[in-house]
Amino acid sequence: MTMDAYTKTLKRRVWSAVLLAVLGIILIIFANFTATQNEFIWIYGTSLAVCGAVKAGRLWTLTKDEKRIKSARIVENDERNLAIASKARGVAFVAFALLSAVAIAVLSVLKMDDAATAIAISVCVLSLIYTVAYKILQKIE
Amino acid sequence: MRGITQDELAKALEVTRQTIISLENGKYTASLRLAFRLARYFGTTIEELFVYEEE
Repeated sequence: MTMDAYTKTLKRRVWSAVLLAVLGIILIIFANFTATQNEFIWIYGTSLAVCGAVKAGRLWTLTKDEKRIKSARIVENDERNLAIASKARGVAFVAFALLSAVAIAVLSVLKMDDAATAIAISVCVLSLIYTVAYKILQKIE
Repeated sequence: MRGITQDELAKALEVTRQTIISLENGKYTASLRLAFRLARYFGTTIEELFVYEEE
């Protein structure tokens, strides 16, 4: 990725983060000024607003510093880093599947069948997405 | 080989210094693209730079 393309990507990310923060603020307003006074929506909105604002600020300062853009681009596109990230995703997927299996077993013993079913479905959906993505990538790459 | 530091080599090849260190230690195998870039940087061939070992 060229410097220009990377700078454009960074600017796009700033706007995405701003959008996230705005969404968070909307949720906070919604949680505070509607009749429901939903605490979960308030917490979720606050998290989004804070994370979005922090991310936007961090990225915006980054876009103002040519030297930092250059080093960030290298770190992000470094092939070893990409390989490590890919490996980490693989490990995370397997760990998630194993932990889910344990959770399903424990929840079934505790007679919490609904929760166990929800976890089982999410593992199945994830596995299905992985398989479909693998097949598609196999044809494309 | 050219009397340069790992940091200078990393900057020239647009990779991190950690990648250069891992390559030197044999902990990471470079992609074909990086291998070519390294060879071109040092004005040599891939065979001169890397040794292929059958597993």
